[in-house]
Amino acid sequence: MTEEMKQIKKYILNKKHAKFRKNKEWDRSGELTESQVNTALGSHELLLRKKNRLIWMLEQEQPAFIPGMDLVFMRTIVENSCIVNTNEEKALRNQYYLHEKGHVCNISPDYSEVLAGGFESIEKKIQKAKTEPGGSDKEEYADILSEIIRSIYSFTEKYAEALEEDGRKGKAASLRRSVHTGAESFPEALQLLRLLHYLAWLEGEYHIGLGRFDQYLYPYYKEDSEKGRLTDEEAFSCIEEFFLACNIDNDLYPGVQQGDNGQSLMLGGVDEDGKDCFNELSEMCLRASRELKLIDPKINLRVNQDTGIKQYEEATRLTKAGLGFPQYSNDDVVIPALTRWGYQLEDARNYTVAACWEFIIPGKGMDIPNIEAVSFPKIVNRCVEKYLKETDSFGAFKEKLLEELKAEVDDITKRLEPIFMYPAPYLSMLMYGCTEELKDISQGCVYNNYGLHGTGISCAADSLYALEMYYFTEKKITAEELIGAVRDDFPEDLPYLKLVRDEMPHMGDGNPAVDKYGVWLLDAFAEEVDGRKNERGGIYRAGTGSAMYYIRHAEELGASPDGRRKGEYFPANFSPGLSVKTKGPLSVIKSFTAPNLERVANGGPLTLEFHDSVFRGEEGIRKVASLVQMFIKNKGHQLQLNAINAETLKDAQRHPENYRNLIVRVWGWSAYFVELDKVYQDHLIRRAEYTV
Amino acid sequence: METGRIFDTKEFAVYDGEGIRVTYFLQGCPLRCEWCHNPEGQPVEGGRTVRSVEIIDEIRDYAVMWKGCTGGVTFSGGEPLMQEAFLAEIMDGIGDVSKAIETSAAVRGQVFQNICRRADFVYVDLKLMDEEQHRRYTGISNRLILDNIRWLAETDIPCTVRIPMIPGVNATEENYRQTAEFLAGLPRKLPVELLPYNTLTRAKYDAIHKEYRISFDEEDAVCEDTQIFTRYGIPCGIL
Repeated sequence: MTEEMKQIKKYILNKKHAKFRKNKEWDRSGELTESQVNTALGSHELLLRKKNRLIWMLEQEQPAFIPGMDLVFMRTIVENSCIVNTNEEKALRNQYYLHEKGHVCNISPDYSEVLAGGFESIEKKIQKAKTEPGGSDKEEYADILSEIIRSIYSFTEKYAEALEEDGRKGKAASLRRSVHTGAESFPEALQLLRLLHYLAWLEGEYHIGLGRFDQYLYPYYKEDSEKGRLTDEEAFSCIEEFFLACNIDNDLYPGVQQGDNGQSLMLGGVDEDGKDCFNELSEMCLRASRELKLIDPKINLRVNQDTGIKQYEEATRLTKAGLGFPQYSNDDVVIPALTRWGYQLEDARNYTVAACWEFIIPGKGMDIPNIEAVSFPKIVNRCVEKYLKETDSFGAFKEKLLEELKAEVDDITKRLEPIFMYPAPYLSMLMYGCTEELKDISQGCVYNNYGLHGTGISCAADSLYALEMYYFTEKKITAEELIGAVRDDFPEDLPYLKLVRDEMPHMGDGNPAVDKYGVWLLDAFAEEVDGRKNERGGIYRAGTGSAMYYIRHAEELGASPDGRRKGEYFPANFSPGLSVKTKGPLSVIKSFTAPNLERVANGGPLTLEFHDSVFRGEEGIRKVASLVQMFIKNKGHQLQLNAINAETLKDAQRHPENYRNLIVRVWGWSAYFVELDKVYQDHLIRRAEYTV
Repeated sequence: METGRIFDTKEFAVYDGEGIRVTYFLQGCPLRCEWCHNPEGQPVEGGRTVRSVEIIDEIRDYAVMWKGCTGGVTFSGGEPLMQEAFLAEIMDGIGDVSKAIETSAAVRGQVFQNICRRADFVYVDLKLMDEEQHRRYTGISNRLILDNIRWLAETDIPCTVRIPMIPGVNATEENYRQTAEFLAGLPRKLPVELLPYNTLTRAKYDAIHKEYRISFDEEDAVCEDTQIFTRYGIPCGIL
């Protein structure tokens, strides 16, 4: 890292630029009055409101610069109010299903078109669309898009003028030209990308990914490189600056915790013909992330069974930095899974991840891959409470479980319609077909599938093993005792507790006798979800993720038959139970690659925690790289690694002032440990006690 | 059909061989090194009894997982060569799975040769050159050990000599020089690895309620001069 870059990083991490921020309040005089409260707002009203608000934000934003930084744009307006007021939101939620905050979120736009042709290329498309059959009905929408574009021009003009005042005439000219007609160099492309990404958040959408960064930027790098206009060192600096820029406004971006902002970036993978396309930019991004050690952007890497050990070693050097990057996704599982679900092959080959890890298609996906979650321990507990006394065989119990699973999925999916999403006119211009058809992205896109997480899978699998072995077969516990436990908790001194916690094998021990329940559960999940359709003509996708539900779902339950006590949490995503001391990563990988993951490939990684001393030398790097390679060859679908140290985390809890920059991987993103709520901190410390 | 005693298995060992490494720790050791960080492995009794076929099956299952990657198994302990028949049967039973041995070499030459011939890699400890000092700190003579290392140097079995750097005991210029001279006189230049002193050893003893009784000062300086070896043409690195 150059000295200049270090200074910029310091400035940004110390949030010195916060001094440029002003609180502003948006005029809400046009909103529903008390007497109008029962009428839900319509799409049209909200479309106008979104447009007005975006234009207002663009007018309020004032240029500000980070000293020494070439890339520009930063948020100076802090306006946190919702697009709808409380009454309006209540009315909407009474009538519709709103996902999270109601905005379009968790998708990955296609930046390449505007990067290549600027906003004038969009303006041309708008004009053409107006003349198409049916175009005149949508003239208002066309005008809205055009108005937004003009606002964007004015906004960038403000910056261009400020740049000129700052003595940066060349940069001003470059900005003016490229926002109109597209980028003509690698640095320009990165600058335009920064603008496009920045605008999405300004409009109110969030968890907007950066997609296949190393692919759509490659032509600009290649041309500059071949023409001798850019050295690799300069290209690397540009990338570092871009990564730094992702950390300027991220504290203003919505998320469950600080760090959960969805600025995900995908590297590597294959092209539309299935050929490997890991390139020089991919390698530079890995290196930039490990040098900068920032929580954004979130680095992901697509690999497959032919990926060479050298690539894994390079990626492991990034893992060593302890950021939880890269997260690996296995093309050999994901691409067939997507095509089986109806995605076109060339789209499937183009996949990226959403905010955390759900597999989506850049530009074409208006999937909601995190729409809901099925809690498997809840279903197991419910069956224990309702049916255990009356079922006299484990087979009969499993039948009841399948019935309850069906009821749960029926219940969940029923609640999801009719769905309503706030219009996103700006973002629509970056999504396939929206400008051409003058149709807002909130109405849907090429793919409109929903994803269901599956939480507590290992807890449920362990519980099933315990039930079959110790209740039905060996009768080591009574129905009353189990029912009492799931309603509330186990009594401390129950012998059964020691049996299941200390002696019983668990999912993660590589023991087929237990693993078969993980296989069965995920197959049952896939069976139950496959074939279901949503109101948009999309399908449902089952997955192995938990998102943040690993806290909430556990809090809603008593104890579980596997010996999990009331108050103990589930592991994040697809992992062994928190109190399970596993034999080691080989056994864990064996257990967690046993299921038919291709059928439940919505997303949701296995997490492996390594003690950070493992990475001390080159030998350690090679070994971890081999382990990741082994995971992929064993058809694991997704993997995230933490380089962690329980002692360090405990000390950080006691003395946060000494650990301001300590970064940890949470459930699909990385955070500054000291900024997490205590419940997430404690969960991580628990995970860290059982590192390799 | 042999049985043996094992006190630990580690599925992902970092310093026990190349690639993905599963390490089996065999029970029993003829030495009683003051600084031993696996004291639970010293007595011949202890650990759990297993049949060789169980271990062979387990290793074969592991090998299926690392197919296409670099992986293998390492036998350590205690002193794995104290269970010669058990160990040999396992090594024969796992076919071409990569096999490494970590040994003190403090066993009869015939046993040492029998096992090493089956290994793809041998890590052999050479803790002290001075016979009296060796007896003092490990409880036994180093004569057998030196004979075995001499033999090893006459073969072409890939191996590394390891010296744990114990402050004030063997991590001295004098001991390194004597070691280097010994190794330099052998038909093959065996590489040397110096192992940093394991500061967590005391905590391990606390955890198993044993007293960590040492006659050296943990805070003492250690010599890290690898040139003492390299000037004899002996490759030397610090782990």
